[in-house]
Amino acid sequence: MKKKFKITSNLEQKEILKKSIQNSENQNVDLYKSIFGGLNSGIAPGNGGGGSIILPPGGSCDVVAISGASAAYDRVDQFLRA
Amino acid sequence: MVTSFVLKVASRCNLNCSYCYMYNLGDKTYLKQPKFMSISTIHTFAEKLAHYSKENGLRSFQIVFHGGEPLLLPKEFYKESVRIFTETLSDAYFDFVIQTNGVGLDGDWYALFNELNIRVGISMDGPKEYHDRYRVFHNGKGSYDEVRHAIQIGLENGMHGVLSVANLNISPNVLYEEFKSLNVPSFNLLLPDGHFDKLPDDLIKDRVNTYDYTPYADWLIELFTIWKSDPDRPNMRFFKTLIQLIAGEDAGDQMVGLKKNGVAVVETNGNLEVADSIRACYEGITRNSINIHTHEISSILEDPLFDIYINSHQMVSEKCINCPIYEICGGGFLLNRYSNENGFDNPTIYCHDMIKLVTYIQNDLIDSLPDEVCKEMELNRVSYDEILEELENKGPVSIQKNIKDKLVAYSLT
Repeated sequence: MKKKFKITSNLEQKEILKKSIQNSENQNVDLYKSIFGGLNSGIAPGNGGGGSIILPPGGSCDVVAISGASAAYDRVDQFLRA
Repeated sequence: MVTSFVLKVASRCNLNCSYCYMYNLGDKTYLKQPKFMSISTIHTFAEKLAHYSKENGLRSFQIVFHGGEPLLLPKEFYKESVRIFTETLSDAYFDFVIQTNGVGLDGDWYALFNELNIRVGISMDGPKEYHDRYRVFHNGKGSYDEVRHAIQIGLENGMHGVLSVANLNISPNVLYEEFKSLNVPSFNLLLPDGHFDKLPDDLIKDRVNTYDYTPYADWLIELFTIWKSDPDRPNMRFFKTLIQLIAGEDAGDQMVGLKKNGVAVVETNGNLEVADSIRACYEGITRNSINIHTHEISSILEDPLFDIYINSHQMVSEKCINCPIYEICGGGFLLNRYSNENGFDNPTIYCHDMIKLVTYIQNDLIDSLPDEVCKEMELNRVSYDEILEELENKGPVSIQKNIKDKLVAYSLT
């Protein structure tokens, strides 16, 4: 039988996971806290460099989300992905 | 939908990196390209993009100035290009990015990129000793000193990320310390380009994807452990994306996850092609007749290689469909799956490495959760051995014949 690999597969499970990480006092969890919330340091989200991102009037600017596809660069991390 | 366009504004480079897919991995297409993209090509592309935008109801685009080396063009080219894009598509949002080797990137360039809202990415290969072995000028001299200088100026000018190719010859600790000493808040890693018939230098052909041969996983796990234990860790996109995927978040790129690839390359002469690293498969594989001077952008949707590239995380080998980590790795990067014998109908050259790495991170995340949460969510540790064992048996899902035919169509035998 195929093993379950993704830790969560629905919104409810995602919430349980996030809350559990956010509430944990285990030092070993600070990396995951920095990714899933609950910690302000560690991984800085940033907004890219060399200039700010201009939002279209009243709209979202997420290149990835609009097409549902991945982009050459992540919108918030300026890393080439192509 | 494709919304991210990599513009090869220069087809030549002032560096001659030993592993470069553009110049040193078998494809000489660049020799037939004009040295630089003309403003007239930018104009035509912007007009075609406006049409594509209307046709598909798209308002957000990413434009990546890339090469060769994009800083070989004059500053005026960038001022004019940004003006053309923003005036031709006045109601669209643009995310402009430039990827440079950093040579010659000075305060004046940064000032221009800040003025034009162009984000800057710099490529670097770790400490001087290693960087200068691979990223060299045409006379063989290393470029480290100039690149480090560009990064340092960049830290005061908005640049915050450095991209590096994973290199087994550099100890993960040495690499990590190098990036820490640069003080960059973010760095990222790419796995070396290569496929089954053109492996990266460090891989031993007969041992690829065998049980006890996972050099990249071993290296990456060591780096992950160092990174995780550092309370002032910089952002590392590669690991962060894997963690998000394992946790069930919507993440991914052309290397991992299940998202479609929304990227197209505009060659210096206006040709529209798939990601240029795919060229490393064999001479001319990315070539087609689609050119923005004669075609609409949507023509790419009829190109068979674009079809595989855009859907590369859905069009995977039978082994991948049945693999427990398929939803995480998505079958991996298309180039890394290639073999002369089977075309793209393979797991990647990094298949076992990814299984080992993903298993390690998944178990680390599970170990970080309280027992009652693991019980409630029915979470169990999964081992590398268990997954390999599962892969040895034929899985319940069969690959569709039409997909298999598309993947093997690029076989050379």
